[in-house]
Amino acid sequence: MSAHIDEPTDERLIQSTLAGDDEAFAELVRRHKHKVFGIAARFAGNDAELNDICQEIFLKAYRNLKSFRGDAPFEHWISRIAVRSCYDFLRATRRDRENVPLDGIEIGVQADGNAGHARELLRWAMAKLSPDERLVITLLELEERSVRETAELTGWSESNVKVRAFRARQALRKILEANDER
Amino acid sequence: MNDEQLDNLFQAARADRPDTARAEFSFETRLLARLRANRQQPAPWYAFTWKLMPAFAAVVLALAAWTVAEWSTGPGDLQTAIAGDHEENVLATDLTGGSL
Repeated sequence: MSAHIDEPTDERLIQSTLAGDDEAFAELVRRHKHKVFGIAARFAGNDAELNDICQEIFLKAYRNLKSFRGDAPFEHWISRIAVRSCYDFLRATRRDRENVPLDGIEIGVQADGNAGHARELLRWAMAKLSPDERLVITLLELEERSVRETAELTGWSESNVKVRAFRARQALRKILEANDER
Repeated sequence: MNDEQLDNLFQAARADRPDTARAEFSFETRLLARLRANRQQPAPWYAFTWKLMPAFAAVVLALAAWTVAEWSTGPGDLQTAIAGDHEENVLATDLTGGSL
């Protein structure tokens, strides 16, 4: 119980980091890495990519720690950085992802309850979406965030999020249907 | 594919959260190592370009001042310069007895 009380707050760890204490930053990373990895894992293709994206996210956070004003919890702040870094990653690697083959995945079995299979099928289809479309589908449908949360995380307006989500669903449906016809 | 089928696909994918435990293991150690390595690397040359800004600004200002000074000492008006030349020619012709 006392260990819980003695635990420094995020704000305190940020102050210590800014004063040059690397261990305080390590503690901050330890606390929030699961959340950040959870976001980035929806976009990364493998563990190496996941590690690179997450390192980039925390390095950005470290460089911009001075600009953290404490208006919102640190977790929200780092989530925003994570989402924007993932978006940058999608834009940078778009060409590579478009050519990913659909190995052994058949469209007819999408709703059979095989979650891993559904994830692979979705991953393949979503790789063909634009970075905007993929981001909005991931946040709204897979992460189950509200339109408002998605707007805050991406920096887009709420109406913009709704329009992009509608178009993204249409595009995704077309991709899956086209594959089904083949 | 209808909306319901698409929603089923999303639902199934949601149920299978990616396992990140392996990638998370010792992540902070790797991150701190990279942070320290970054600090030890010398800053690239272009990181100092902003420090040269006052020197560039001084060169531009000096060039501008020189151009303004050059213009003010030269003939301000083309017509005056031509007319001045013509008067000199007329005077020279008159004195030497030549024709225009």
